[in-house]
Amino acid sequence: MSNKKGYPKQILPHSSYRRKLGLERLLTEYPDLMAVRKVDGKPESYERKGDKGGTFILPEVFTGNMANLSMNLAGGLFDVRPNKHLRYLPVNDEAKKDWDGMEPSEELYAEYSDNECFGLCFLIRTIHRRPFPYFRCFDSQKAFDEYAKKVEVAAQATNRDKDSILVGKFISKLDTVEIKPYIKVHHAPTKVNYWHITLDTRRPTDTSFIKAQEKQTSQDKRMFVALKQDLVQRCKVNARPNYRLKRLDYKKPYTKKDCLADYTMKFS
Amino acid sequence: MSSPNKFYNYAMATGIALGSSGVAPADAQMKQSSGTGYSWGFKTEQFDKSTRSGQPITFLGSENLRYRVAATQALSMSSEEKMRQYRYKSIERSFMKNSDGFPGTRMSYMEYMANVMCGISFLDNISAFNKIDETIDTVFKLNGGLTLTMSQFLEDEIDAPVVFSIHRGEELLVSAEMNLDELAKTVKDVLISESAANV
Repeated sequence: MSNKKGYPKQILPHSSYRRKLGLERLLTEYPDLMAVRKVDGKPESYERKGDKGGTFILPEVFTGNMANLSMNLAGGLFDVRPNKHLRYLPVNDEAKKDWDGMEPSEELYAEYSDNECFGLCFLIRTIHRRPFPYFRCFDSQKAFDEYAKKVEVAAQATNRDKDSILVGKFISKLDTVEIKPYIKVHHAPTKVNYWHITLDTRRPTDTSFIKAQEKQTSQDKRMFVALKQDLVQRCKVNARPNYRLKRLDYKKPYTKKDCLADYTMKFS
Repeated sequence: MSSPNKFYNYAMATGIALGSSGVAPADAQMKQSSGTGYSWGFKTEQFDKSTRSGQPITFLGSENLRYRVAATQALSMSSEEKMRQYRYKSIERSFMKNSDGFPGTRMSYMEYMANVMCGISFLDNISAFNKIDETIDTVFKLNGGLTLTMSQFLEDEIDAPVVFSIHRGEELLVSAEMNLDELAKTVKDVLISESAANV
């Protein structure tokens, strides 16, 4: 822990902010909307040289739980540069809880860690609201039938077409069947970070997204390994956003002061 | 002496290198069709080292063209075998550099993987032990801007399906589980169709 600078107050939630940011709305205005995931250490610790000299980032760069993959929304008040806001993490459990709309008390962010880190950056449009097609094996016809039954129940409950999330039938242990887990980015402001977002995954058999504390099966593990493989191909290290969110994108509407501030920013 | 060994002898005599097995490809073991004297299978004694040693190979007429094709096949098999060895070493070398914390008792997993995947052609590669997932993660840069990423689980049987994905740039083409033999075959097919599409 370091107390040199103190926790960055710019990223704290404020009662004048919208409770949730609608990412669809933001994406229409900012197609290159970017998410940044903090990774401890230096990029060199994860960038590996291939045998012929190329540079690779391997799936091991994802060290935490993949169920609610923590990220930060770039382009607002959150400065994604590694030596700025990205390096701060609250250590207080209460601070990590969902924002309740109130302004946080100081003791919530009095303690924090500020490890050396870098950012893995993703274009949100490439990871938001999309099925993640994955061909998996089943041990037996019985295992497949049980799975298909659960998919059917979940599909009915969520008004989805079962055949679009489970494609094919069991042939043998070595033949694959296509399943389509679903991934979505949620704005999930915490008590000390308004810009916190999560990449969530929903199994084809579920109606809700997998929770971080939920028990995961070996099949979940394989699915998440596949997701990691996909994400490492999409990420850029320490990228910067090419847009800037307007105050009204995250502030509740509408005061004359806001209007004036946006106007000033636009022409500055 | 069986006919493959005859072919081996002939290959040695004429400087055609063979694969480690010393067996000619099945389609190279041609049968005689007319009486020019060159054949595989029936009159193989004509290719014994003792009778052919030191003589130049001459290609005359259509019958000899068949012989020439067979010889080329034998030659390409040899270069493929060399390439396999080269790729195997490349995978092994890369893994050795990135195997911090890898349990030595599981080395057979890497060897098995390298032995199968050296059958595919790649431009660059990396293999590393992933402590978090307890997998051997391997990435191959393939022709046509394709990338193959695969994770082999140490908790599984050695020949159990691995998790892999193929990307073109950032675009995900396929993400699946498959055993290594099938995967190598699939990737070869993908590369063939890619190169056909680019002709």
